[in-house]
Parts: sequence; C-alpha cells; structure tokens
Amino acid sequence: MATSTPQTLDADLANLHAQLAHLRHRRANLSTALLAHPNTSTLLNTNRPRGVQKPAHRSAASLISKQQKHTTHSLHRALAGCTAYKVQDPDPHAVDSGRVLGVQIEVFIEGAFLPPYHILLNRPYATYPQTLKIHKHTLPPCIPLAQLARKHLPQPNKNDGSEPVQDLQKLVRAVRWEAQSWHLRVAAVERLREEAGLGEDEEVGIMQGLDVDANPSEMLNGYVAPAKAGPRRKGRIVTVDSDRAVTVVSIEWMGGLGVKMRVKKDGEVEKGVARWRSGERDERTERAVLGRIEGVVERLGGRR
Amino acid sequence: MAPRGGLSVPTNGVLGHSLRVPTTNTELVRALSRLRREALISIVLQWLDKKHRDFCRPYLYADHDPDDAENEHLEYDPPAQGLEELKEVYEGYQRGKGSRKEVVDRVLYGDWRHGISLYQLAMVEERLLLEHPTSHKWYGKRLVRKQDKEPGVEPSDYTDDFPRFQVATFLQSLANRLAPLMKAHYYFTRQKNMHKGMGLTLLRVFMHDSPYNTEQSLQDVQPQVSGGSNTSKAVWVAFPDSSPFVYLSISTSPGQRVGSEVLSLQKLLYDAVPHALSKPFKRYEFQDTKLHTRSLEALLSLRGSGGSNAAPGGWSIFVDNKLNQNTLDFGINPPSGDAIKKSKPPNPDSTHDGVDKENNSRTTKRGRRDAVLDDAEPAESPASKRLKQVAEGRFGNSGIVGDGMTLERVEVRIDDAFPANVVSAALDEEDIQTPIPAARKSKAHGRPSRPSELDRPADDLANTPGAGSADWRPDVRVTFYGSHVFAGIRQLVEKGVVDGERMPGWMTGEAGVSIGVVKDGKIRTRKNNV
Repeated sequence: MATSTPQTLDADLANLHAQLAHLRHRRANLSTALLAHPNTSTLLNTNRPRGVQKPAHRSAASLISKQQKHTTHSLHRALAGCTAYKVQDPDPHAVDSGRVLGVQIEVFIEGAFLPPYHILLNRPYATYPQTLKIHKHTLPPCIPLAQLARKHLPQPNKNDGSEPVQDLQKLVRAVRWEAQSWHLRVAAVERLREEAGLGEDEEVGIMQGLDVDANPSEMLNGYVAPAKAGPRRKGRIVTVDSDRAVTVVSIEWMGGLGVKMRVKKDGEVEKGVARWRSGERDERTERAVLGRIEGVVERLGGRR
Repeated sequence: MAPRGGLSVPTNGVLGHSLRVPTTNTELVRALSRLRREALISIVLQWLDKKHRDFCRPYLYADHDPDDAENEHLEYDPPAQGLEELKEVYEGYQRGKGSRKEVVDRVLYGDWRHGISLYQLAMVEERLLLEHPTSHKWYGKRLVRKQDKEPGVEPSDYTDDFPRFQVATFLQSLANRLAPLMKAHYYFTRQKNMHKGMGLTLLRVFMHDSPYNTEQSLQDVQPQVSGGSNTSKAVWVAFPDSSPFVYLSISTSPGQRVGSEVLSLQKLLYDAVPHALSKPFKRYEFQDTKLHTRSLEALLSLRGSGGSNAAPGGWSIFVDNKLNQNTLDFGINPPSGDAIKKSKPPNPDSTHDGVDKENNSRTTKRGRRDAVLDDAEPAESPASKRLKQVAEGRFGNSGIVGDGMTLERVEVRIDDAFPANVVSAALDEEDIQTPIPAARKSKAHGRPSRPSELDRPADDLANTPGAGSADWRPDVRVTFYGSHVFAGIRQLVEKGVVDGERMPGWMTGEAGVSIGVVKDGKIRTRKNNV
C-alpha cells in the first residue's frame, strides 16, 4: 500500500512473524502426531514393493524409530519421575576413567514439569569398585541432600574395612520426595500471597521481623514494651513471606500483628506464634493457623 | 573544638543512626565524590523522603543561629526554610541544572553543614556497593557446627546444619558481643534479586574505636587519623538467603593502606559473626571455602542458595538444563540452536590442528545428546570449529565473557610428583619443564613474601623427598590473573593454545574455588561436603 508508514509496516512484520511461529509450531505438532501414530509404519511397510528400498523409505523409517525412542524416553521421564543415564566426564584426570552415572529427578507442579534436578555419581574408590559417591548435583542447599546421602549412600570408613551397604534407589526416592514437597510448599505460599491480594514484588526493605529503618539503639532497647490495652484492628495483610526452604512462613497485617508459623515438610502448619508489635500474644490467631498451609489466609479471614 | 557540654560516659550501647560525622571526614568526602551525579541526587532525595527523614535531618532555617561565627559559607546562607523547599531544589538538579561538584558542595557546606548522619553515610556506601560491584573483595565462608564432642552426634552430621538467620536476634547478639570492644553502627539492607532471584541481606558495620557512643567521640577521632587508615573501618557482611554461607568483605581502595588496628577490629567482628549465630548446644564457626572474588554474582552462583553450588564449570549444563527438552515435549526436533552463544569470532590463521587428529574417538561432550553446533559460520575452518566444540564440551555454558561470574585470581599449587622421565633426563632444566603444559601461560607474578595459604605445613615439608628421587614434589605454583580467568582459559582453548582435551578439569573452573592444591589432576577438596 502506498499509504503505509513505518509504524504500520512494523506492526505487519510483527504480525507475520507471529504467524510464522504459529505455523512452525503447528507443523512440528502435526509431524509429531503423524510419526507417533501406530498406523504410519504399517502403511509405509505395506505400500512398499518387496525388495526395493528407496532412500525416502529409509529416512522415513529412521525418523519413525527415532520418534519411537523419544516417546518411550519422555514417557519414562514423565511416569517414573527418575531416570538414570550415563555421562562421560571429559576431564582426562577424572576417576574411574570419567564414567559418571546421572540420575534425573522430575518435579511436577501445577500441570507442568519443571526443569529436572540431576545427581551425578562416580566410583572414586579403588578398593571398593562398586561404591558410589555423589560427584556433582544441581539441588539447592535447602534440600538436605548430604544428610540423605549419609543415610542411604554411606561412604567407606577408614577404620573398618567392610564395604558399605548403599541403596541408590532409596536415596533417589527420598530426594524426589523432598524436591517435590519443597516445590509444593513454594507454590502454596505463592497462592497465599495471591489470596492476600499481594503482587509479585513487595517493597524492597521490608524484612522478616524487623523494620530496617528502625534506629538500632532504640530497637535493641525496645524489646520490653508495655502492652497497650483496648481492642485492635488487624487491617489488611501487608506481607506474606517465607524462607527459601519454606519451613517458616510469616504473615503481617497493617495493624501491627505478625504471625510466624512453622510448616512441616508435608505442608502441615505445626505451630504458630502471633504477636502484636508491642509484644502481646494473640492466641486466637495462633489457634487458627494450625492445619494445612493452603488455607491459612482464608482461615485468618485475610481476604481482600 | 571545645567540648560542647553533655556527658561522655563509656557505655555498652551502639552508635545511633542519627549521630553525625563532620563534613570534613575524608571517608565521607571520598564516598560522596565517587557517586555519579544522578545517583547522588536520587540519594539526597531519598534522605528527604518521609521514610528516612528522621535520620537525615538537614540544616534548616530553624537551626540557624545568625550570631554563630562559624557560618562562613555564605553561598548557601540562609538555609532552606523547610524540607519541601529543599526537595524542590534537588528536583531542580535532577532536571539537569548544576554540575556534580555543585551538588556535592551544596550537600556538604549547605544543607548538611552540621554533619552527615551515620545512616546517610551507610546509604551512600550501599549505593556505591551496588553501582561498583567490584569495589570490594569478598571471602566466601561456610558456617559449620563446631566439632565439639557432643554425645550422640556424629561429627559428619555437623557439616550442613546451618542456623536460621533472624535479623533482630542476630543484631542484638552481635551488638552485645562487640559492645565492650568497640562502638559500631549497624545498617541492614536487603536486595531481593541479586542474581537469578536469589536474595541477599547485607549488613554494614561501621566500626568506631572508642568507648563512647556520642557524637563528640565521632568528631574527636577525626584529627588523629591522618591519611587513609580510616577508610576501611566500615565492612560489609552478606548473608545469602537460606544457605550455609556468609560473605565477608575486605574493602580495598587503591593506594590505601589499612592500619593494623583496623585489621584487628575487623578480625574481632568476623569472629563475632558465627558467635552471634550460635545458640547453646549449637555452636558455629567459619570454615574457609577457598573462594575469594570481587564479584558477588560469582559468589552467589558458587556459594549461594541455588542449584549451581555443586555443579560449577562445565557441569553447569545440568543446571541450565540445556541438554533436555521439557518432559511433555514429544517432538523430536531439538530446540533451535540460537541459544548457544558465540564468545569470539573465528580465528582465521589458527593452524594448530595437529592435536585434533590424535584422538578423535574420545568424546569431549558431557551428557547423552550429541548436539553438535550446526550453525557455525561457513567462514570457520574445520579446525577452529572443532576447537570450539572442544571448548563447548569442556566449559559448557560457563566461562563466557560478560556472564558476571568473574574470578579475578586463581592460585593453585601443583602437588604431583615430578615426572620421573623428566627428572632423570633434564634435572637442571626443570624451570622450563613444568608438569602442566599450561603453566607457562600464567602470568609470572612475584611470589608474595608474606605466608600464603598455599604454603605446605611444616611437618609435611620436613619429609619431602629431595630432587632426583622418584617422589620429588617441587613447590610449583600457578597463578592466573585477569578480569575473568576461566573465560580467558576458554578463549585459549578455542584458539588452540591450550589443549582442550588434555587440560585438567580444574582449569575449567569445575572445582569452584579460587585457591587450591592440585593432586593427581584434581583439586583436593574437603571430605563430606556434598
């Protein structure tokens, strides 16, 4: 069009790009569906004259077998949750000539798989060729991998010469449980934050249990303050916060009430302590927090 | 200056936020002059903000005493009438009038002529820290349980039990511990998203070597301290969210010498931090993690709360999950190769292809997928393409210029036995025949005269076999020094200078340390730290 301006051209371009991306995605979907269909390979084989093998046939057959392998692999990942694989360490000085066993642990949360976690094991001991040791891993420190490894994957002791009894399956199962429950707790706190009407970003500077800008000398001396009498208003919730491992969740209200609760690994609130800013305990709130973590805000009447 | 009345009594208190240091303080003037103009104006506006106003009170008309002979700076006389007026003045600066110098002068000799409060000073230093992230040297420390003999507890159970960090309790405990030794001003700040969503709590401790916590004592100390020995009195301690690590800063400003009394104050503080985190029957102490760097990002990635702690260097491909599709993605077309970064243009005159032919059968890739870089430029010669693949296989996604994970100085001691065939053949040429082929590339630095962390223990030294025997271990140390050491080694691999296939693993940074001892091609690590 003669009347087109740079703006409309840009918009057209963006539109075309979006269409292209959509079509590419659709093509990939269709080809996957076609390749994975059980009838495809039968049709290919029946329509082919005996003894003649054209290059097109060969490549189609290889594509189908590739797809089958990938489907099996993905299904195993999705359904079993833990997949073992082999890795070759390129380091020329690596122990056991660089043979590494990897275990991939899937975490499924809110209808999607997260990027998996990996544990990489090697066999560093010359005297115990079957004894595994965790070489590298990608789990965050809030998952107690080291404790679990001590329990299920004990290392040989210098004092007694016996080979330690290791159970990799138990270790992997325990780690998967820890990772999955951690992500469930994180998601639960995220939902609490939404229920309380808080956005993604709180103001930088609000910290657990402390007004950052308080004068340290006042703060240090201000622990024992007389409780003020009279009814109080909670107001709306200003923060819902947790530590990274989500073992402690704290909620604070505008009116100066704060509750901290201890959450068990399976998401059960075990204990809660509620205090007004003056230091006075609020037992009604403390009783209300006990139970599942998911409904805490609702139980406390904290909806907007 | 004569004492202005008021009683100075040695106390156990801390220095309050609103105590003021005189505007002639060298540390203060230097800090202010290092700020950019925009940062300076925004920070002044923050001071005037309702939230911080109480601790940053400017000199207003109400404080003005016309008879006071000390008011020689007539330029800014008379002082502003109110906070709103001041705010307008600085908003005017923000719109682009006045130079940086003018703003600094107005702050120091005009609106805050009676002194800048400790709180303001802390805010300035916080801004400096965030704007110049490499201005401090950080030491990564790990909190471990003290190896006391407690009944029923295995010593190895101590390693990864770390304390809960609660700011108010920690601060109270720390202040109690330090109060008899020095007076200090504490300033906490929190960064929500320093690196990949990891939060960091920063504590600034301004140490004041005096038994008094009055403004007077802050002013009195000024004339005695000449030069720069005062500069390092403020140190930072950083606590990454729920991880067993703590970072300690050593402030290093070029050309400044740190006095011994300041060092001893720092040491007192560093000793007090694990004590303040301890509680009865749970005592903690610091363990060095052998990682010193100027980059907080590198620390957060290698000693932080994410999953990258135990998978540094080439193993980072497992953290970024580059070798996998999503589990529910059933298509067999691999994700597009656009994500793979190119760090360097190809080197056309690279002719070192002799090494490549030797062992083509050896795999240099980690992982199962044989994802090959298909999208290499056509101009690239096969040799340099191969070298890039080797580098990609060894380094993964690490060691890329500009990724922020900079280690500036990596020191290792090679503790392997000297190769026997070399010993017998050319004993007097040992200085050019180093066991590691890459050693000659290291920049030759003068050996520091002071004792290094790499020095062998004395009893170890005593029974070292001498030269000529089969088990001779000479004291060979290699120091890599530069803006980003492992990116540099990666580039050398890509150019073919370092043989990427025979290079030991620690040269890819997969040990995650900046100082260490190499034995059998591996950096020795502490036991039981998973």
